[in-house]
Amino acid sequence: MNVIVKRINAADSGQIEAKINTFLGDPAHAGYALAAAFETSTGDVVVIFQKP
Amino acid sequence: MTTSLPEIKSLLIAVAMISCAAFSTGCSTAGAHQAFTYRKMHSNPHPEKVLTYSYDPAQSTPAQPFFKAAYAGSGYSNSVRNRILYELMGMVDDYYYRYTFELRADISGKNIFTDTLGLGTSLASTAAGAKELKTVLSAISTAAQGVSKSIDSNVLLGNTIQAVRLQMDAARADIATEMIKKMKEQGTTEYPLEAGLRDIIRYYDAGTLTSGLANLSKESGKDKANAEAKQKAKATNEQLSTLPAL
Repeated sequence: MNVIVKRINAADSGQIEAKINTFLGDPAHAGYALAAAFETSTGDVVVIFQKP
Repeated sequence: MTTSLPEIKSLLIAVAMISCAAFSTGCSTAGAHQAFTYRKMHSNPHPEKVLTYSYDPAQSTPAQPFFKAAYAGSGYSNSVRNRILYELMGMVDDYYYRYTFELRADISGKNIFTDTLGLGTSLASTAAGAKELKTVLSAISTAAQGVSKSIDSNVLLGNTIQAVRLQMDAARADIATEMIKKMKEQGTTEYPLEAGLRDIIRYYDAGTLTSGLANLSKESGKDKANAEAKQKAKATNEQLSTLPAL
């Protein structure tokens, strides 16, 4: 199982969905799915992708 | 050993001073008020004002519950209950202000005295000619400073006494507000005199040093936990900020 953890800056909070879709649409990330996402107290969003 | 008259004088003065210091340390609680109820019972010329009961031997029933009897005599009225509780709160306030004033004065006085003693014996030691006498005076000076160090804990307390007092003020204000609210809004069924007397004890207790120190420790503990939580959150955020951006 592979896991990739990424961060989305608070300034880009309006583009979270677009950024995730871009990541998942990249052929290099084929097989990955969104596993979890949470917002930190600074407003950044941490996104965890997982490939079984 | 050849010791001159002035040197002997210096030695005697130093010995007298250290004796006084030891005495004053032993009597550190002298002048402090006894517990509220005890003081009112044993030194107040009006024993009928003892917290809840009268022990006036002139009465046919010396153990008559003074306030409770007045309360029952009024038909358990709100106004009598309130007047009794306000009077008792006033007595507790009076005691509290005198207690905090004396507490501060007691600590400051001891501090100045022992500082002076330490300084005096050190100077005497420097001025003394004979080697042996110097040793004796130095030993006394060391002992005197030892006494001072034993009082240092009190001096430390003196420096923090303002913080403790603020804590006591806050706790007392909380209880007073709660009591006044109950007295205004609740009848004697919900808030009888007996409950008010219980609150008076709490009100008095909130103004004691023990309670103030305990509350201060509790608040400091809370502040520490909050600070640690903030630090932990900051460290977590710093770690998360190193993740690659999407």
